[in-house]
Amino acid sequence: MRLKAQTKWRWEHAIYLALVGIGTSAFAIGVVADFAGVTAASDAWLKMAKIGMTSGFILVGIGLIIVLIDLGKPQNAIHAWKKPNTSWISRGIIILTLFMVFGAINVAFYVWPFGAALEGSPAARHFLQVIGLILSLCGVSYAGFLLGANRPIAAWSTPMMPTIFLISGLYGGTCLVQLLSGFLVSDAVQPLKYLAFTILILGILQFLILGFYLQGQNRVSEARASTMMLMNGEQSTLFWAGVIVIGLLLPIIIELFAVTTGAGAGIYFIAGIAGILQPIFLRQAILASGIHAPLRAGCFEYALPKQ
Amino acid sequence: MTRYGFAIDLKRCYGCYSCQTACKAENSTPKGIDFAVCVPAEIGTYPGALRQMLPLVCMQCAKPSCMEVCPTGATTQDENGIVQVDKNLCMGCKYCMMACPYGARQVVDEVETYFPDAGTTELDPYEKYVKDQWNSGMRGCGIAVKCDYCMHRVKEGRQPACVACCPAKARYFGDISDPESEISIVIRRERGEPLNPEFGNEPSCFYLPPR
Amino acid sequence: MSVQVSKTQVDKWVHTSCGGCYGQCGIKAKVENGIVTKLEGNPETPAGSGRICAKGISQLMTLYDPHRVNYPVKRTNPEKGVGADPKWERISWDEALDTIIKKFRNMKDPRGTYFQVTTVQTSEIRFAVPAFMKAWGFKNYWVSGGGLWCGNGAHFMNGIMHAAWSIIPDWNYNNYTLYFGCSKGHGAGHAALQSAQWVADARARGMKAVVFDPYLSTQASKAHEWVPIRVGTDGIVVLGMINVILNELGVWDAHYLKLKTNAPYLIKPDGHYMRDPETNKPLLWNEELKKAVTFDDQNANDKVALLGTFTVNGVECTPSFQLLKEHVRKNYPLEKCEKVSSVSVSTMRRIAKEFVDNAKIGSTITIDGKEFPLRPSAAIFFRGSQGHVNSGWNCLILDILNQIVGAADVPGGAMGHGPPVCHGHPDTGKPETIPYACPDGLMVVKGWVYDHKPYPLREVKPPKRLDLQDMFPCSVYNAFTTCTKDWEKYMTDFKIDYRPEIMINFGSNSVMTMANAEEVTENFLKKFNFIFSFNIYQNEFTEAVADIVLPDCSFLERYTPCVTFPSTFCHPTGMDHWVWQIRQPVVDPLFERRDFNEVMLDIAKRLGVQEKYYQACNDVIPVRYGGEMSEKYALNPKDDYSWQDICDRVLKDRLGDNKGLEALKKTGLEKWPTKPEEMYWRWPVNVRVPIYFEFFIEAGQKAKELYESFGRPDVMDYRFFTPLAEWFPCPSHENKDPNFDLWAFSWRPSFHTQSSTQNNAWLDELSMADPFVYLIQMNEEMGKSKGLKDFDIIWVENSDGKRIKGPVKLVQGMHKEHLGIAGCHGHWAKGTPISIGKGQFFDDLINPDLAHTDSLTQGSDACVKVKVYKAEGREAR
Repeated sequence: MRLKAQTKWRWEHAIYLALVGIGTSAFAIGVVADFAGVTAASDAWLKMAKIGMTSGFILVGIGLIIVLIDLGKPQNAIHAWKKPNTSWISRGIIILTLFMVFGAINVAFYVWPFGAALEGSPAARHFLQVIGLILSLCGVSYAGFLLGANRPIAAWSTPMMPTIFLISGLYGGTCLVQLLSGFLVSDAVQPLKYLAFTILILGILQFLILGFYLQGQNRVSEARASTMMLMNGEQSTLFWAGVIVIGLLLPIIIELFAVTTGAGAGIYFIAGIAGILQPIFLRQAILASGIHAPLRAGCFEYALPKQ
Repeated sequence: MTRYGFAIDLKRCYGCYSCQTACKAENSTPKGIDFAVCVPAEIGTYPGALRQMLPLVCMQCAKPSCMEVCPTGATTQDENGIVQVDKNLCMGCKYCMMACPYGARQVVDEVETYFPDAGTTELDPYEKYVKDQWNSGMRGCGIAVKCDYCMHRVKEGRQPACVACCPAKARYFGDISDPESEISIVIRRERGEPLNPEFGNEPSCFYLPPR
Repeated sequence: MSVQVSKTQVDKWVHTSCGGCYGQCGIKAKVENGIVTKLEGNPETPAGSGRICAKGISQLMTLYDPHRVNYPVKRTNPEKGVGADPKWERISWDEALDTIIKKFRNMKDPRGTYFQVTTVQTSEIRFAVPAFMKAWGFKNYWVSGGGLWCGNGAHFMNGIMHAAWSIIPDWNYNNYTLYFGCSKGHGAGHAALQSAQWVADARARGMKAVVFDPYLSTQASKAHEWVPIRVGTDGIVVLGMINVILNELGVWDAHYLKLKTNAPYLIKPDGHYMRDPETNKPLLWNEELKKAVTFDDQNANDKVALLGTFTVNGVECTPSFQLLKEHVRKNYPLEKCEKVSSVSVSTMRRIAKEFVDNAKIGSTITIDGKEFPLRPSAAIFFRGSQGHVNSGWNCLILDILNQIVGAADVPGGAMGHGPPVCHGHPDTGKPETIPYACPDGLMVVKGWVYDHKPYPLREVKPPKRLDLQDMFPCSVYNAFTTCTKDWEKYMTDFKIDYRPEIMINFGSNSVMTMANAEEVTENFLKKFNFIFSFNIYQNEFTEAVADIVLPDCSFLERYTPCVTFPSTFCHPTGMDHWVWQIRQPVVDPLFERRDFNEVMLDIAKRLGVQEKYYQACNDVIPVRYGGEMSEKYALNPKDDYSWQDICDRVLKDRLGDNKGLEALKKTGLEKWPTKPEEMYWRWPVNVRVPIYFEFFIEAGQKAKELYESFGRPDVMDYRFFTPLAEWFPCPSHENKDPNFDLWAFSWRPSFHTQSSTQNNAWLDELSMADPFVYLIQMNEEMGKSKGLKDFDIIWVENSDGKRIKGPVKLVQGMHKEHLGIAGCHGHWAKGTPISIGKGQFFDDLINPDLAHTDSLTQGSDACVKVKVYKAEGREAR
């Protein structure tokens, strides 16, 4: 019997989940930068904060549009919030809707078009930002819970899943902020270095967590099949070349180089692009290797049909 | 309260696909959709190998995962345990397809013709009938449809199509909440078990051992 | 595309008979707004018992398939051949029929006509085919697949031993069945739906089945035990088992053998019966009286000898049973059988013992107040065991197993199927089909599918038919062994003074069901000047060779007066009902489709031979439906009848004045209860069957003399005409070339009917998801040793260099030396686009020549030694 992976949630969903992860994380990084910027000598931090919050807000919006278009009946999406007591999609929609609302307020009154409104009152904007920060951290982890709720897919239904999504989202979000700031913010050497440190730490954490995750996927046949699919099966190119080499190793080496030598924006560009791709590749790899448990009747095992 | 259930006797089933085809005809399911899928499998090694078909239906679980994850409230369960999908609420997110351990939920984007090479854009009368049937009532495209134990037949006092056609009489349909119903007795006597009880869904469909 | 919608717009259910295979189950069809929307089983009939299978339901898709032939067309490209583009041009019915009539009128010799028909529409060929043959005066006909896809050896043997077309176990009481290459009860069209139910009931109450097959078939996977066996070696395994039973266990049903077989017939040293000089009747030895008695003497009782040697009229003679016992001991030691078949000695011993133990020899059962022997063991077989050069003998050997334990047509045993003994409808006494004894006491069938009965054998005479079928004394209906380049030489050698001119084809796709397409087309079909064909699809046959194709009705659009008699594949065994089922249009024929029987009658009328046609109908009915036509309803050659008139008269004659077509259309059937002495007829009917085939000796000698006189003794292997059961190797068994290390064989999936269903969209959808049907199955270990992986595309090549290719599936359920391919797939006709390239066309590996023909039954050998190697690519799955 050959177990086959699900094919119903495809690259559109991976991109949506990645954009949500990167976007909410970028927003969160922005908030942190704003807190740092208040006391910092350079206004680079504040600029970085605006870049993070704005880009994050836009990315999540794009993600939501992509997933909406992909729905079988988009017109019924207005009902999607109705079951937060049991459904992670409802919870996610509520979190992301609130995030978009607070994100919109933050962006509108801090960046554009009413940018001046909160410019002068850090306390007020920090209040709004913290709410946004909480929502964004929920948003970045929610996809992990969304997948984790699918009990028959052992590779998803693991406590590691929210952590993987959280770290990977933060990693991608940081890379995004670093990339944009490298171009848009002059005199941002110091903040960029902090970001580089953050990326290094998140990248190494991501390595470890993926290791822990894969190590744990050995209890049932469908989990082993998913792992095999990632390690040396259909998704192995995406996993090794995409997630590990391009998504993690390349940025880590570059950031390491940047931290030790203090190189400029050009090098962050490569690291940034690669780092942003990591959450996309990782989510796609995880979705595409999601395998349902075989059905068991007597001594027989059956692969789930119509996958 | 009646709780409708199935018992499928794997000892009797020889894998002829009749149930799958009868379901297709009865429910006018379009290309790609089969509520009563049959899954073949082989186990063991030569010459001790064995093959056995597994005919599936919706398990109409007491604790349906699909209903749990459904974000819109489109998935509900009626008083007889039949899990239903409301076409006017379902948004086609396919979350139920991920969460269902039994592959009971399916979706098509559009009704595709079986005869793309026919050289005509007009559907033949039967395919047109199927398309109209599919798009009327509570089924349709873009939503996650499923088996409902042929409730339209059951309400008329008839057996579900897959039960009525089964050449081997391998399928029982009835009230599993009544301990004296034929199906309850057969499940009890033949040691019927649901598929993959570890997921805790408490299915209403039981399988009698294959050997 | 527009369709004329039926006038009645009311929803209705029409009771008719399924035509998805030859099983003829009773069905009902729902018509909504003039469209057939549902097909379901009809619970009123025992033929199908209210159930319906995938093939049946899927016929909805065939009825409305836009690829159907809807108008007459003619070929405009004169070039014929496999894969040719006929460049069809639509013509009117008038033009089509005018052309056909002109061709008939211009024939040099009407004998040069050939009728080729399908096995699938088995009830539709009962009238038009024999009637037109007699009316126009020709003897050439062939039922497609007769050699390769149907049961030449099986029907021949079943006719001799059970007066029936087939055998199935009496699952009502059976406890132990040996399956040899057959799927009865697991989808085969042998009372498919009822059998499926009974075999499941039997399994549930503990019936055990042991399946001998090279692959883990459906039946093998449901069975108690699967015994992998080399193809075509069934006979030798069973001879080994008979050896165990007779010589090691020493168990047999002596009472049965003495009274119901020719086991006690005394055999002279020359192999012939010892006969009574006065009456010429075969003699038996009564041990109590110590004298010889004739087989029908009152002293031909339990005291007759089965063993020993006796001197009668100065000649030393031996009961045939003694000869059989000695024969298997001497010639079939178990080690030899193991070497040939790969079935171990211990397995043969064990199963032989289980078989006789389960037969419970001596036990009886009372059914409806009548006592019968109870023999709950049966050995059954079909395509697998008889698709070989040793077709006839494999089948006879297998049934001898049943005969030894008396498990033939008694409760629990192997039953003639459909039940050959019918006392007729209570009102009319028809159809009456009770077998009777020949002068030697052996059984002769009554109520047979064809004019030529399996026994007595066809008289050996110079062949007159184009296909030389009449060359083979035991051939039931195969006819393709002449598809070789030297066909013309046979014609001249046998002084056949006419040549092929016109072929009428009804539904057959012989390009795909005889042997490799090229040889069949080039050496046989292209010899005809003009071919017209009734079809529902343009298939490989029509595209290769047909000049005119007429749009036939499908079974949902036509009348057939009877589908359940002659009882072949539809009646249940055990106590139930006889059913006379008709087929009637559920909707009026769509487009310009017309029914085959109606058109053939029309052609006969236009040719002015309708008088002979009607007379032929009158002649056909008594043979097919047991009992003469009454004067009241016999067709008057001077009158004018429509096809529906004929149907009506047949029905009234068989079932009674008030049960004509109009009456039967309401219910679709007439049924009446069966009697136990009909179902379990073996003892009530006073006939014997052979376990010693004395009549083969004479047939073989005469054939040899005859063909020597023509200078062609090479046409047959006369060794086959031996009275004692013998197993002969297939050509594939004698191919010792180590490069050809695998046996390829074909198998039939339960959800396809021969070559007719592959364009069915629903069945194709199933097949695409099925892990076996469109793939070449190979033993996993063997495949890996050849470096193959699942879905690799491989070439399968025979020793003539003919090859086919397809994706391989490595499985555990396959004998290591074998390769299994589902038969009749891999279509290429443009008229059936869904089926193109799906699965493989196995028959391309098969040779239609005498080396691959059973000299007894003309059965075709369908196993072949092959080599396998990787081709480019892999199938994405």
